[in-house]
Amino acid sequence: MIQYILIGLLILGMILTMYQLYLSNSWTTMIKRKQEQYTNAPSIKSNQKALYHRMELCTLALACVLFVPPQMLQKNNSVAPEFILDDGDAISYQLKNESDMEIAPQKANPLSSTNHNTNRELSKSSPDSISLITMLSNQQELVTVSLEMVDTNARVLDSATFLELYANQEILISKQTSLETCDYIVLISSKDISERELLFKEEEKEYLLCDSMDEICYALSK
Amino acid sequence: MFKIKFSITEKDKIKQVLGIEESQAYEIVLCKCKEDMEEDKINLVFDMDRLDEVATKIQFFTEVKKIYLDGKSEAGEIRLALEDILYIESFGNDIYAYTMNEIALLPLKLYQLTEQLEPFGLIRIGKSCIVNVAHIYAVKPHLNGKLTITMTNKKEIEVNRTYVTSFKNYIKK
Repeated sequence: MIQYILIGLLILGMILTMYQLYLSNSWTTMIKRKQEQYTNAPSIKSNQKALYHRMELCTLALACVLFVPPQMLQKNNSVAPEFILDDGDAISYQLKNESDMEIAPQKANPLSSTNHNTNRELSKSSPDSISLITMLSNQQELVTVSLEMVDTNARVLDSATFLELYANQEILISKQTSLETCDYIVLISSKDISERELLFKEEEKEYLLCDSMDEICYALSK
Repeated sequence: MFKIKFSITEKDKIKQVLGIEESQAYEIVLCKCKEDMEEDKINLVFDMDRLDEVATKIQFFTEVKKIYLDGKSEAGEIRLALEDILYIESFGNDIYAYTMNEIALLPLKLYQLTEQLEPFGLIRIGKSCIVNVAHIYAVKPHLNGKLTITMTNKKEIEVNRTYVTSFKNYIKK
């Protein structure tokens, strides 16, 4: 949409500049003819550098807008997960188009809630960290997403156990929005989202996974 | 002022001997036969052999008498040639004429000057300004209908929308 508006504005600018060039040319010609009635050497000069420069700029900008890859202007919607909220707590998601992720679904999503009485839907344009972990836990060969676990002493831990635990749990959105202390940090990075830090903490009845950027915490019941 | 209807080599010689230039808006046609004559123009028909004789005759057209305006400058009373005046501007009741080097206070009213100077290429372009068309250096039309004129001394003068039409009509004459 932004691209179309830009193209429209630039074309309008070019048309107006061309009209001004035409006006400038016709005025210069008229005055030159008049001057020739009084003198053999007309003093008027065709000074259209500024207009030609503006025309060049418009053309250049138009070329840039036309040849900019559409991905740079639009976020990739192909992997947009759809969230369906169940009475404000339970969360389930489904990928709109799994083939776009270059993976074949191997099993049904274990995180899908079975009792959906929902009417509220929340769509996001790009996958967030939690949906990427979910995808990872379902499909471990996923090459576009990487996950790393670091403990508080900056030691890298094995993330396979975490993913296995994650895949078999029901995830709820916790009332808590942040964690002050954590057991370890889950670093997740993909081409769709830049590196994100998730804080993981084991509590008495549940595991908490908090995204400080989105200010949201997910609870995995034990 | 002139149009020369001769071959290219003859044309160069004529320009050199007579000291004239061709222009798109011409009144005098120089040609070698009656067939080249143009209606509503002054036609001079001659052979190249008699070019020297034409040179003396053509002085009548080229040596136009200068018209002067009297005014007062810082140095005292001066006489300004009309062709040297770039523009005339009024400030209250005072009328100033600007040349490349001088500014003179004129003892006339702007409306009197407008009437008297229009046949000599000076046209009113605003409530308080008259410009000499021969000294316009550049013109810049705007999309809102206004016009900015740059004079040979690089002074920029704006033509109001109300005066653009009359200015255009004058230029087209």
